[in-house]
Amino acid sequence: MINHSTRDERSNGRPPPDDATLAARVAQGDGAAFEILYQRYHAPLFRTALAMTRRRAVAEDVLQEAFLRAFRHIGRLRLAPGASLRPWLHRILIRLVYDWTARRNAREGREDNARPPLRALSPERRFEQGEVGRLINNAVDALPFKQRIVIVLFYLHDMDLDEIAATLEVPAGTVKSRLYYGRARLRAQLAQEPRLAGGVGIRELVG
Amino acid sequence: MSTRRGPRHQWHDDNLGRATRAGLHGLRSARPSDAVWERIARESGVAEPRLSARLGASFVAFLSGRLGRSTESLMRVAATATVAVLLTTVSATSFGVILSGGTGLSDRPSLRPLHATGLPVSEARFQPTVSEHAWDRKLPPGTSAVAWWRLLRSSGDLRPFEPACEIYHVREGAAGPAGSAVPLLGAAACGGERSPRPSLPGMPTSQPMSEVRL
Repeated sequence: MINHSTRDERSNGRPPPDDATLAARVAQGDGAAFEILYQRYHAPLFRTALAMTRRRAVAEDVLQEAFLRAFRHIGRLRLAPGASLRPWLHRILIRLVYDWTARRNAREGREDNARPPLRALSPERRFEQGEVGRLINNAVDALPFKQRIVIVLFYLHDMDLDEIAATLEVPAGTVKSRLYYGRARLRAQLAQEPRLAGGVGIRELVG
Repeated sequence: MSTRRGPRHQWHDDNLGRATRAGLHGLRSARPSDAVWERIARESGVAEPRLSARLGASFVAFLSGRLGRSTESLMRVAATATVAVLLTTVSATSFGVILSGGTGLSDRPSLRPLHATGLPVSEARFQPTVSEHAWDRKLPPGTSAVAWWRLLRSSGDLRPFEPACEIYHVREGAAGPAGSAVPLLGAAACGGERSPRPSLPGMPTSQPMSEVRL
């Protein structure tokens, strides 16, 4: 049975409850607590999904499924007081994105690290799209999944290596290795690009 | 919501790091639509009454979006359905023509039971059935109507039946003719003149079968 006891607590000036408290309330069927958690974390999770899938509709579907799974399984979670739900929610979302990527690769018959090469656009089009941004995005998209997610968490969410390690449940050394090789691939991808419209080589930007 | 306390890693702010963060900058303000939470709330069972007003509008938007995305699918379905209807129509028409042996014209043979062909029983003259005539000709049972017809024509014994514009095949059982007659030759073959209809067991007739035997 869903109750909405926390709805009033949100507007009475008290500090917002921490994630552990909200998780416990959600486990008891508190829909308002679940909505607070959604409002707290939906944006970063959505950005991760969008950065990984590059499709808004897919990112929204993945976000929806991630929160529904979190709602179903939050009762099993043992969260220390003051701890953040973000790594756990991110982990659910990343697994869903991984599944979606694997299905798409199987459907399109391609390996994860065999993505299409960077598309050649006319100089006018490149200018319109923001040339550097487009090149970077395409290069990130071309990375293997494990390197791409580390790059996204490191550069989009500004997580440090330990946070990424906690999110992905891998050692920090593994995160550092994936970041190193991901950056090397990025640099190699971008080095193949011709000089930009302004006469500046992308190599000079990222070197 | 980062819990980072120490200095950032050197890779964060080098040239490649700055370029990568700049490239991903467009995603930093991305937000999902309101419909996502409403779907989550609905599916998880936490939807509140206060959401109902918004649900209406968002549901319409959701439907519009879904319909927009599925327009291509709908077009495919419509095209497939059109082809299926055409194929069905053509097949059914062809099948009907094959079964009836004609195109539905009144002087063409039909598979309909003879009493349903529209010919009033009072106007019907009766012609020996194929099998009856085959008995008369001492032909073995099972002789086909076509064979009978050829034999009849070649023997010149067509006079009693002329104009024999419709030839019917009658299924035979142990007790004699049975079932509906299958027309083999229509009235159009002899100038469109209507020919007498054969009588069949169970068919209401104005004359007993024995009277039309030759």
